Amino acid sequence: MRIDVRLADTVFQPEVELAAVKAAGAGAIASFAGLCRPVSKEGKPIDHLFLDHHPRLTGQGLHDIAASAERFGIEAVRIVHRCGAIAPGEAIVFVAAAAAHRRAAFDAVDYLMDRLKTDALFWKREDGVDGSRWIEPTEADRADRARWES
Amino acid sequence: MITIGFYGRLAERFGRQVDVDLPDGVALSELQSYFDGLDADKVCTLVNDETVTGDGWIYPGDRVDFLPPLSGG
Repeated sequence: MRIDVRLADTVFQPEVELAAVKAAGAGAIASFAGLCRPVSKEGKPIDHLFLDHHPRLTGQGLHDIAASAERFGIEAVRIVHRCGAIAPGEAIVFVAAAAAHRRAAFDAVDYLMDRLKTDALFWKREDGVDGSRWIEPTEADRADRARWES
Repeated sequence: MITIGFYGRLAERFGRQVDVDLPDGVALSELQSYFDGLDADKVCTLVNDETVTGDGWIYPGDRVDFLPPLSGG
């Protein structure tokens, strides 16, 4: 399985990342892009999202998460994840999986996003006009992650 | 010198990196007690990039990282 992982500290374009997915024998490519929302869950405007990370272990952790998608029998996986200050509308994360058939590609992307939401080494803060707030995974995030443990 | 790294909300409180000069080293539990409000039960502790549980001796030249609960991606 081909693995491409990048921790990006500047803006990236999901459509460029999708075009870069390399999988000569694949019959399906599924992808997901997560964007920074302009408002918090409480509906308050956000100036930007700040993602703190560990200088060595965050990148290694992303690679380990990507490698764990091999269970789906996919041919390639690509993860690009931002760190630092992210403005509303900018991409936070891009995930793509290439496989012989669509189901494996869909499942791998779904799985990877659930892993990233709970296991990636990031500390997320919303900065807005009303101040700053650190975010932690929700019970819904943990429940999504638990779907893949059986 | 022992280098201590903080992340997320802990970095806001204690700074990104703190260097402490302890020529004979120190117990991890004592090192944690230097930082008021650092709850050992709520942080993941790394010594030289390896996760540790329980107490242990930290030597000059070691790096200790205190990680608050992850936010995820």
